[in-house]
Amino acid sequence: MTSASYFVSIVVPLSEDADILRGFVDDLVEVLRANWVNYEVVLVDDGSRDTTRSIATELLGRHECLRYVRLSRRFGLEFAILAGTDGVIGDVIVVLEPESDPPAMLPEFVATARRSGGIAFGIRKRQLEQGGLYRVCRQLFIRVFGKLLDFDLPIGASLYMAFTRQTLNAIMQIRDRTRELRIFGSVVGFPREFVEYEPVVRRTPPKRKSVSEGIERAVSLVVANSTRPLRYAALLGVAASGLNLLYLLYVFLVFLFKDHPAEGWVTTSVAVAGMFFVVFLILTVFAEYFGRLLEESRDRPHYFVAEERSSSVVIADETRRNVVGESQ
Amino acid sequence: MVAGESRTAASRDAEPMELDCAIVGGGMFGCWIALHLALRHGARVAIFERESSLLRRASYRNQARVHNGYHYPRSILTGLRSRVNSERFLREYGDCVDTEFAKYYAVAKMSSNVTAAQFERFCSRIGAPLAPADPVALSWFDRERIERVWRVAEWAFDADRLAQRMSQDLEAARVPILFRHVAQQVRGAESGGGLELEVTDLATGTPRLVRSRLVFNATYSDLNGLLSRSRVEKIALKQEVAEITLVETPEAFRRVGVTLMCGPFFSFMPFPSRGLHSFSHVRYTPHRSWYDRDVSFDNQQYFESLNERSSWAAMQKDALRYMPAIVDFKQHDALFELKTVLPQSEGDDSRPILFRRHTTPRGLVSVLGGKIDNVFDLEREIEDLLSEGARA
Repeated sequence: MTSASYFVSIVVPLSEDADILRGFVDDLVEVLRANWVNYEVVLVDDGSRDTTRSIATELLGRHECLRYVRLSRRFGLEFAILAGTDGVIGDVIVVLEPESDPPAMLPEFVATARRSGGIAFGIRKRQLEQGGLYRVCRQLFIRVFGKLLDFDLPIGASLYMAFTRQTLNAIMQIRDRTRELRIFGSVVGFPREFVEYEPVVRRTPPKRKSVSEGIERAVSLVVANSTRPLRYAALLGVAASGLNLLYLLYVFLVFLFKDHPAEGWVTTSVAVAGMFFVVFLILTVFAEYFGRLLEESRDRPHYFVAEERSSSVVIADETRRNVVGESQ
Repeated sequence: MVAGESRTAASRDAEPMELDCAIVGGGMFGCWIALHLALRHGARVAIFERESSLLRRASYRNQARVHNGYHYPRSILTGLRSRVNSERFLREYGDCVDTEFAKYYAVAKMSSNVTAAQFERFCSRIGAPLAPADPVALSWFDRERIERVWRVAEWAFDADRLAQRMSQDLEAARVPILFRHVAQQVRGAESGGGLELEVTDLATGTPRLVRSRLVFNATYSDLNGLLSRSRVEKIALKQEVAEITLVETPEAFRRVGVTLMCGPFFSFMPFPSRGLHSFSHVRYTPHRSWYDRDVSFDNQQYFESLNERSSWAAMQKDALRYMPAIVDFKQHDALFELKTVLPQSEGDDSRPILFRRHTTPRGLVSVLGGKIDNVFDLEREIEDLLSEGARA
């Protein structure tokens, strides 16, 4: 049974995915054709340098309702998704990564989003094969910072997500430069439901993610989504200033009542060192925020699109044409 | 058309037809060339048309826009020519043009190839009038996505009235039109110079020979069809299956047209011959495309075998993001047509007319225009062609 009552849009971010693209898109289109009459697929190429483009061109000639958008350089996964979601028109929008997300789960994602009227978050039943340190850091981040920053996401939350049009419109109004769809999905406050799924393995071994990039991203996310660290730093500054005040009082009292005030260099140097520690800590936090302000105030476009092309399926073979004519 | 049929009947004799110029294709370009040759040069001209009346195919099934330059912000030359031609078109065919509606152009904030400032500069350079849109018009748009909106001077032609007008003009100029006639082949005459054109009367299936000094191939999407049947090398052309959706609008939009520039956006405006609005979308109007050189099938046969599904749902959904006010537009039906484009003008806004004088056979000319209102640009080419012919 196919449904014609609503429009489904699929956004697929691509990055050096030439090896798995064909199989993925074939699977995807099969599922879409079986379930919906009105759908579109947007493949967003985040500046791949491999043969992704030529394979996408071939796919545009084979499947209908496909669109290929190539960004002018590598902008990062979240911006590729943004470029895709900016341009889609569906009543339900699904984002999925070609490497690990099974298209077969689409009907459930779409149904869940439509039922809840919000967002369906994908939860992987099994984590992708990544280094031990990366896994530990990721869990630490989600547990600690998730609490700290008021968003709670299950450990396995992936980018496989389905949105209703209303939810996506709300999310699209967030034009921050540090983007994380999963966090935005929590921030906008629409109903959310979780869909558990078994990830597929289209590539062995999977792409490795680096720990240092992960940490960098974690810091960016915290700074972008919360002013709490700034407030903690400010509190620390206030406390340090208070201590400083006490210390001044102490020095004053020593000056009044002691005969030989030149002694006590140890306390002096400890105090100075302590103060500098606090001051620099605060400066570090400030620097991070000022950097962000600068970043936001530049107001450049989030991404640049190099080209956009749509499906053009021509059945050149006389006999094949007749077959299609009959099946439609 | 009755007049046409009577002429067809009169010409059903076995004698070869003797002409100065044979025009294959009774679209706007074919008709205009025929008129021009008959009136200005007193040539013996006849038109051979596959359909049973004039201007039925691409001249009818398009947006019916009389361009006034606005559409080509990335090509000053096209913009300027378009301005000049639209004035002349209005002068000569004003009775077939609807000028009584409010046309608006808007520029999108994102994914647009021009900014509002660039568009204003372009319009002032080509002298196209531009005024800030009224508050009512502004309220139709999502201001988050739209940078600026203007009221402009752009019109729509009535293809039925234009066909009638051409028919009258041709009759007055005594140019016979042979409807339901398909040109099969053109070749150099074995003796005495000139060309031989083989046509078939679709009604009776009888072939007929036409002798003519010049043959104009003005068949648009069938240009390469006639060429390849005549064993002449194909021209590099791209074919697009294009959908113009016809919609019914609420009363407030009855006399309104809107074009959103300049990227994967949409445009709608009155479609006078049907009393509806035409709606097109850069992304969803082309359904599929191919290059003539890459395929061996016959464009017309392939086109007729297709069973296209309208993209209206997608067009409207996309347009609603920019213009929530169009939510009550209702699809009436859709016009599908083969749209033929020159591959060289795909990447920019230049929309040249193709005027290809073939050398073998000499005297065969292939003409392809993308817009009916720039037909006047052919004047010079035809003069050149005839004066060279006279010298030779």
